[in-house]
Amino acid sequence: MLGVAGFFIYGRENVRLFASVNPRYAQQLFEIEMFTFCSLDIVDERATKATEMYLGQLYNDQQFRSYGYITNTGVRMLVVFDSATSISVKDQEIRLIFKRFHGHFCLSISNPFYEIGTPIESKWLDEGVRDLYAGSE
Amino acid sequence: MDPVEAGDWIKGRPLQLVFLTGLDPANKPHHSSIVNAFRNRSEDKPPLQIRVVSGELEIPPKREQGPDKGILRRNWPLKYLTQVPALIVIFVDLDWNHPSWEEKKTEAESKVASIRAQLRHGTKLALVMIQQRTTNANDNQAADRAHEIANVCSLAAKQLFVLPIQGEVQNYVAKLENAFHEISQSFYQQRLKHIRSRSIPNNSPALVVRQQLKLAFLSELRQDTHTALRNYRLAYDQCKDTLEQWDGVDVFEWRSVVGLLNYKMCELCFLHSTALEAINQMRKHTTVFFSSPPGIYPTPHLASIELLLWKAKQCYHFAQLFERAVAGGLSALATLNPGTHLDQAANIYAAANTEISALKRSMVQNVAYPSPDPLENAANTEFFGQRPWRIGHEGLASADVEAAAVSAISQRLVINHEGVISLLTAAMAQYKKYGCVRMQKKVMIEMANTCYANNDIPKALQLWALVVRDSALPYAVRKDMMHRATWAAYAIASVKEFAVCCLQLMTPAYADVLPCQCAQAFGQMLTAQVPCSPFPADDVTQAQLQSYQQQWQKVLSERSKFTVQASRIECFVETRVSFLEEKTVDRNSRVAVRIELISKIEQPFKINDVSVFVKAKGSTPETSSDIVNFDEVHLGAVEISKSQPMKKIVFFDVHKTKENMILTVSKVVLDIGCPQVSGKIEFDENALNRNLHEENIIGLEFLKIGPGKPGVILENVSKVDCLIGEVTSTELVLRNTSRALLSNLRLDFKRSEQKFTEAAAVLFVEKEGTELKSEFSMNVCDVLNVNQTIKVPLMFSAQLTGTYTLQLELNYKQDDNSELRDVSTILDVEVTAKDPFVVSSHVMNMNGIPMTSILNNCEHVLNVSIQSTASICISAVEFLMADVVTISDTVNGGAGKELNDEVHEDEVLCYSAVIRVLVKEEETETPLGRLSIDWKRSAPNSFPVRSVVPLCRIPVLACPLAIKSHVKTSSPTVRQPIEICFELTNHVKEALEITTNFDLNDVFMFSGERKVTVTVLPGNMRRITVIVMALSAGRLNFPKLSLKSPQVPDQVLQQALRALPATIFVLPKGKEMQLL
Repeated sequence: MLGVAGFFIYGRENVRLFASVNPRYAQQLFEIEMFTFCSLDIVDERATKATEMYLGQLYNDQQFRSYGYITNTGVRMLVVFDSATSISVKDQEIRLIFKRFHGHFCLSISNPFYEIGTPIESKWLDEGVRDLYAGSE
Repeated sequence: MDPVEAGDWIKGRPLQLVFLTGLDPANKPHHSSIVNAFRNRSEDKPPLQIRVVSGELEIPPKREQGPDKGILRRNWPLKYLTQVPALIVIFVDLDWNHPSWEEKKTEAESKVASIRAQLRHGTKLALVMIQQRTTNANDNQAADRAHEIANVCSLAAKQLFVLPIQGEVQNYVAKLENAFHEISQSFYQQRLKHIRSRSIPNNSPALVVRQQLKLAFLSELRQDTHTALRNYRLAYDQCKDTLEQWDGVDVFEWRSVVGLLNYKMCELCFLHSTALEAINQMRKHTTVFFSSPPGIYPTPHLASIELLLWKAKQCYHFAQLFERAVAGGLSALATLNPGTHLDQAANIYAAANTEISALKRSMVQNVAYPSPDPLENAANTEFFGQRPWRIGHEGLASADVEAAAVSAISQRLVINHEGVISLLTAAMAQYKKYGCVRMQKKVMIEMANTCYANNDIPKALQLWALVVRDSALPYAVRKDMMHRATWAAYAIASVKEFAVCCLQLMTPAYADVLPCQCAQAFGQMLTAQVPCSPFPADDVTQAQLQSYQQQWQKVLSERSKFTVQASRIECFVETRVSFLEEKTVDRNSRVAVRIELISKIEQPFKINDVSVFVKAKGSTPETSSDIVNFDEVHLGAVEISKSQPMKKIVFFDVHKTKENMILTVSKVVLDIGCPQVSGKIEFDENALNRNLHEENIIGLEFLKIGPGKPGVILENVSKVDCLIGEVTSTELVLRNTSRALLSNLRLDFKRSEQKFTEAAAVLFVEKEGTELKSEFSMNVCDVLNVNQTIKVPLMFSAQLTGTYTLQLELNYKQDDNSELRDVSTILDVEVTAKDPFVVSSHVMNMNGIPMTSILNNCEHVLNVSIQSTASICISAVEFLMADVVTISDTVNGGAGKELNDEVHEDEVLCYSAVIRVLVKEEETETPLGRLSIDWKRSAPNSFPVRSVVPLCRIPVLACPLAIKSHVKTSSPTVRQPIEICFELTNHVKEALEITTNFDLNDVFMFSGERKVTVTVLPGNMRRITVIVMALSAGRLNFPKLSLKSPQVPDQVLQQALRALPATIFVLPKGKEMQLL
């Protein structure tokens, strides 16, 4: 069990484009939001030195750990895992989750009516994220 | 019970303990200098802790082996740091040649024997002989006696030292220290062997941990930190592996030891410059032990609190180690810095505080503190982490004691919010250092929450207000903050803070939090009623609520005012302002300002008054302090809702401004409330047009003050084309564009105030005047009504070519609200002036060949080309020749006085004259004179102009002889005799002998003397006549003559011959008519 707590997408200037919190963690929404917000500090630091899209583990505390991914256009993606359940999770598995998440994101922004840089409201992305939650159970 | 601190010994690096005895620094100066030399410690010296002892040694006896129930004795490390020396050094004053050598030897022996008798744990011994002089290497007596004394004292040779006090004591002491360090190393090695050799029955975890910990610590003392780290790790792993086997009642002790091991491991990792290893160790420690069950001893609640406090301590200690490493040169990052650990410590500490608070609430009140105090010996426990009330007990103490202990712990626990705040402050400093702005915000929120919990509500509100300004903060977080802020503001009955919270919570983005109550509560407060409670139903007691309400009643009974800065909050009302003008407006004009108030909520919101403030300020940094504030405009009471925004346009008179100032709406103030509770919502420049893209603004956000539109404008003239010298006549049409009557209009041209030098040279003709003047001044009219125009004739003559502007000053009086104001404005008339024609002249010889130089006294043709740049009519052309130039023929050149030569633009007219230059000597450049041209434009009513232009200059060569030819035959005809006369004229004052030679050719038959030598007297002329007969008709080369003279150079004669014609036209012979 990977224990994915949430998926987040931020624009180049850290404007939030998408946020989804696993319904299992709905009670910890505040903590997850705060944790993700803080993780952006690390993304900012790593983004300039990144040699690949996957940024690795960003931040962790007793409850959560976050991993980052930055696309070629500077869009930042964050996945928050539950610290308790994701101890044994392998880097390769996280890369795979990001790859899928990135794929869903690309599908969503391929919508000709979507304006780049605005919050994403896409059933494709919502369904994709639901699948990713289900896959991490 | 608070986590156990290891003690001060853990703070520094462990040093090898060495005792010095036999020294008497108080009475013997040389002993004192030795002691000082030993006490002078520095980092480059061996790691020794040197203590001077006198009298009896207090070395602890070996402890009786018995069943131990603990893991590590609390004072075990201290034993090796303060009590059990690795080496005892005995100092004696003894020279090799001491007269009482035998007695002294015996004395030293007895000293060594006495100390040896007190030794435990295998402490090493050394003897240092303090001597007055240095020993030579080949001193046999010294060698013998050294051997002798070593034997007597049962010491090895390397345990015997000599310290001469003459010379550099420091150097000897340094050498001694190195030797002591070596001996100490062997002591610790021996101890390690001894401890390692101890068998551990049943591999008891506690004993394994104890053994490894001792080995590690002694390795540290031996300065073998890598082995020490390995042993600490083994001990730590042992604890980790046996975590589930820990006896429930001993969890606290185990945890204390694990904390100590983790601390030592991290410390050594940082020491080895493997910071990542340290961080990973801490991560592992967090993962394994932070999530371990708290246990149930002494009570589940207390165990949980103790675990939290221990966890907080672990994080804090690690942060301290990390910080120390950073101070030592380690470079930290945003991801890896001490701040995260301090933050974590604060979080855990805050959680502990919450639990303590819950425990305190559930405790039975007024219970006496147990006596005797079960926690009395907390600092003196036998084992590290041992419960103080269980000293001397195997397992649990008696039930009474245990109960008393629980009561004592519960009563001793305090809620320490200050501790949390100090941790958060330290974390914030770290985050600031590493540029983690968001984490800083998080810490601020946590600090605000702690302040709220600590009842420091104003500070909490201040922090929340600071954080909530960040629009990037997620709504979930902001909602939570606002939630607490509202409660806090209600609890302290702060009108302003409550208003701030309500204004924010009323925005739809916060709608989930207190969806209806905030609007209702805000409305109640504005009508001086006690606002309804914002707390969830079970969050406050009825008594508390009543007390809050009473407080509110008291506050509202007095007049209260509040001001909210909209830029600092997210308000449900948005204000949009813009100027409905062009980008640049005139000074003293009126500008239209559009105000739009938009409410994001459906409920109507009543505003008592809306005030609009406009200001103008300098646009450059130097002038930015120039600010002009205009009187505000009040829009009166309005009621707005989501479906009913307010849109109004107001006008401002922007007088008193200066050019280039920037005009902005500085603020919009909404007055709300009632006389009892009145409030203002101030929208400053940051809050106006917030969340509105620039392209969506109707109009402009700011205006620039232009130079000010003149009351009078020049309507028709944009450009006047004129020719140099001509009197150009134009008409200026002036229009009154101001909104006032203008009077006493006067137009001036001031030569000295012109921007262009060409303009200053322009000459004017006054109305009905006959002369040209360099300045003029004229009265235009007495009164010019609004929008009326007036025509002003203007005649001028440009004197210089180019495009330039004539700046005419118009002075008038403007009637501003029955006040006559003198106004002066500049009217620009652009003039393009060019020459009427371009005159070029050149000189040709009689054959039409252009000459670069001419001979004096010879005739040449002066040819003048006039290329016109406009359509003009030339009425006269006159050659005004220089004194040395005479005109031979003026009739045929085209020049004259009564001409009517029309010439259009770019057309060329030529005039010529035959001239002769009469200079006597050679001149490099002779000015030929000037040409006077009378012309006027080919237009009706144009004025005639006389232009005088210079003619060309040409070098003149002096030639004593002039030659001319005349064809005497009236019409030269083929095969008919043609008489040609050559005239030779002498222009000098001496006779010239000339030999002429007629060149024969095939074209002409020749009759006469071919070669003639003549003498031409001064001023005289000689003729030479030849008769030729042309053999063919047509234009033939003129018969050539060559000249020779002994007085005149050939070159000059050649030049003179060029005056002869080049050709002669010979007519064909007509057929003879035969008369029948």
